[in-house]
Parts: sequence; C-alpha cells; structure tokens
Amino acid sequence: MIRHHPSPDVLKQYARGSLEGGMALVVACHVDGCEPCRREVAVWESLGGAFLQGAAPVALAENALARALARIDETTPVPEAKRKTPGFMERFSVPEPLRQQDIGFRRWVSPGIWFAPVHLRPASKAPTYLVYARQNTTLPQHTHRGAEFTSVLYGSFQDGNGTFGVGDFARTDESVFHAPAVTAQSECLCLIGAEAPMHLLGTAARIIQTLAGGLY
Amino acid sequence: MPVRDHDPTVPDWSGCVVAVARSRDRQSFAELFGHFAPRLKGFFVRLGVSPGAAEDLAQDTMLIVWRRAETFDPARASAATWIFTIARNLRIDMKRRERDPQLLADFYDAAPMATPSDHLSAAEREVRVRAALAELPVDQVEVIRLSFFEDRPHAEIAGVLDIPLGTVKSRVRLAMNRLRALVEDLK
Repeated sequence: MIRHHPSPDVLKQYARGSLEGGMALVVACHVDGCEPCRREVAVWESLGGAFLQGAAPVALAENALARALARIDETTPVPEAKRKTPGFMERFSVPEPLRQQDIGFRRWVSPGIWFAPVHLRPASKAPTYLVYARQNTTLPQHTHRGAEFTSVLYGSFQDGNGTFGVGDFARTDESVFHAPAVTAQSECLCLIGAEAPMHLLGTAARIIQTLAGGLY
Repeated sequence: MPVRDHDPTVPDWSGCVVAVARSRDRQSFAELFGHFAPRLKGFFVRLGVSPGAAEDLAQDTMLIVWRRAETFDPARASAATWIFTIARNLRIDMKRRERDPQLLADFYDAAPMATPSDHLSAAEREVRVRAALAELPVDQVEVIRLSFFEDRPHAEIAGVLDIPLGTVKSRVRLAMNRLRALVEDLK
C-alpha cells in the first residue's frame, strides 16, 4: 500500500512540465502505480487541454501551414528506438516510464550496494540513477544539494521520516541529513532524480562516491 | 467511450486526430493545425520563449501530432489534452537542451501520453473539468490559468492582478478543491 505521495504542488509542477527531466521521471514512476495521483495529474492535464483549446492565438508565419505540410511529406516516421533492459534489472518489475529509458552499467560500491545511471533522452546533467541495496545495509550518511526525489521500485527502506515501500515517493533536500537503511525484511531498489549530486559526509562515503563514478 | 467536445459548435478535434491516424487525412491535419498551432505558439511565448523559437516548437508539436496520431486514444483524453501533453513534453526536453545546447533534438522518441485514470472515464473527467471551469468564479479560473498554464509564480500573479499574495494562494486552493470535488463526485 502506498503511504507517501508527492505533494499537490509537485504533481502540479509535473503536469505542467516544469520539473527537471530526471525528477519528472521519478514522479512519473510513482504516478504510474498510484491511482489517486494519476487522478490528480489527469485533472491538471485536462485543465491544460481546456486552457490550450481556448488560449489566445498568436499569429504564425504566413507560410506556416505549407511548412508543416512540407515537413510531414519529407519525413518518414522514426521507428521507436529499442530500449535494452540490462540483465540485472530483469528480476524487477519496472514501471512503464522507466522502461522507456536506457539504463547504464551498474557499479557495485560496496558488497551490498550498487548504483546504475539512467540515460535520459535528451540527456540531462542532473543525476538520475537507480540504487540497489541488499538486506541489512545502510547508505552512507549524506545530504543533498537542492531537491532530490526518490521512488521505491522494489522492497523498502527506512530513514528518520519513516518506512518507504514499493510505490512510495520521498522528497529530500539540503535540510535533510539521512542514512537510509534497508532492513532484514527485504532488499531495496529505488529510482532517484536530483537537482544536483548527493553530498556525502565523511571520508568513507566519498570513497564510495568515487567508486560510483562521481555521478552521485 | 470517446471523448467528444461537449459543445456541438466546437469542431470534433479528437475525430480529426483519429482521421490522421487512420488515413493520413491532410484536411483533418490542416484543421487541427489551424486551430492549435497559433495557440501552441502563444503557449510557448507566454512561457518566455522567443517568438521565433515558439513558432518552431508549435511546428514540432504539430509534427508529432502527425507522426504519433496512432498513439492517441480518444477514450483516454481529448485531442486538446493530448496535444497539451505533447507540448508539455517538448517543453521538458527544451529545458534539458538549454543546459546543454549541443544535444540534438531527440523528441520523436518521446511517448507523449496523457495520464490515464481508471477512476473514471476520460470523457467524464474532461466534461466535468470543463464544466467546472465554466462554473468557477472567473477570478479563480484566471489565477489557475496564470499559475498552471502560464507557469507564473504566485508573487507575479499578485502583481499582474493587483491582489495580495495571500489572495492568490487562497484562490488557487479554492479552485483546486472545487475541481477535485467535482471529479470525486463521479464514481
């Protein structure tokens, strides 16, 4: 059962397209599995449609329609790019929005934890990645530069704010110092989209960051 | 059940998209273009895009309408809502490209999909949302439009409408509560 949702304001930002790409993807993965949030986003999108249909027009270039018709003539539809799901992801059920992205190589940063980048199209400099942690592991204590969104894809983790299970959404920012822990009950896989790389506290943590490719 | 524009004087835009999907109907595409392209340009201009770039984005949106018409599902959303989500996705991509101008446009892969909700049919939702817009006080609709559609910060809306910031916030909240209530009604 989903207990943690994006705030109404985050859903509104998502629906109007003002979230950065990776963060929008994290929200999309939550919304994909959460009926109340889908309903809220659908209302916003319907509003967007109504506002667009009734919007004040702005004059186009004189040859605009001719240009559009020429473009549809000269172009053939691009076949949908095949997304390759890496083998290590096969045992997880991946939400549809994530299925449409390319997932890069995973890097183990400790015996129980790996990171894997998500390559957005078009590419984004803001970090978007998967984090996996085995039972009884704890991520190094860290804080964040700017906002960071997390969507739990598998299992659960705990931090000072509670327990986050499959489908749950978490938002952290620079005011949050935490060391998310994965308990004995289940391993955990999360999708994370951040405005800026995580700020790890302590030397051991920085070594892990280096191992993870410096991205996180 | 397909979403019909409930006002019979309004053309059947959803039918136009379906005609493009089924038979590459250029006349239907031209009708869609005639209505939506100038409004899409306005949408992008009001988000702060230069008129030239806004024209290109309106063109790009309509090109995706042509190419992806098969993915439009009239049971899920109206044509206007679907086109809004395409423009919205282009805006997200545009912002990513701004940070790294060397990136090539790659939006054809984007799967522009309106968000489904199994709670109620798209037809009911669209009709209810539009009815609610007609029913809400004009000042509440205007605040929602400026805040959501034009993406203006609350402080700026307060300046534009010459009302206190607190009033902007309460109008947004009132309008959204009303909209949610109308949608919840529909079980």
